[in-house]
Amino acid sequence: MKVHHVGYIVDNLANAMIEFEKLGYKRVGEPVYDQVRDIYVVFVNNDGVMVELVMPKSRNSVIYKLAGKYRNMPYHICYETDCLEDDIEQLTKRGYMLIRKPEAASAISNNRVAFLMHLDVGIIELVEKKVINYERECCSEKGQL
Amino acid sequence: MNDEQIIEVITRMFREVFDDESMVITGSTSQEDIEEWDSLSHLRIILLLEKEFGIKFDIDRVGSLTSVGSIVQEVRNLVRR
Repeated sequence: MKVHHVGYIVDNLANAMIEFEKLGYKRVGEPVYDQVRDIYVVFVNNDGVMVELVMPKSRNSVIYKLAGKYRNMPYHICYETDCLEDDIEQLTKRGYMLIRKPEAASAISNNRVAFLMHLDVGIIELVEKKVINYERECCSEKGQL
Repeated sequence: MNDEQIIEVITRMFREVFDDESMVITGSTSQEDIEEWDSLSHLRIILLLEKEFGIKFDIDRVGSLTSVGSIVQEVRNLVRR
């Protein structure tokens, strides 16, 4: 499966963006607020390697506890899929557990994503392949970052 | 398989996930009793149980299994199917 991006939990999105840029990453679009997961997200790219910087907005965020425990660390790899449902079915037969059902991801042009977990792999994300446009509206609450 | 036998298996899972061979688990043990029992370790326990028993948990119910007793009950129901 083709890797789309690496998901990376950060403590402070603004500071992380600065440091990743110093490492040679270029920001892809502006940070967006994903209301479904209650997270701020921005993509950065370094020579084709896409990293998704993710910061929980509040305690209600699905990754709030993870962020508190792991701070600044990669926590999933996202793979592209032509058919989300087919790949979920195949992966669950191979021991993966669907931990977050398919839903639109505002940070990826509302492409549908799903999260799965495997004992020997950890957390993976699947993103449904379609025209992916990283140019999106700025987060209305960007000032809080 | 009775509840005691299921708890024995769950105890083995908890000891593996939390890397604590002395961990004692009872039906009344809950997430409040084990500080390290967070969402990620919870999912690892569920995955280990799926592998051990050859069952599939309903993801909509996994989050509500916050005590060993509730996990035992769910495993018992799934094994019976």
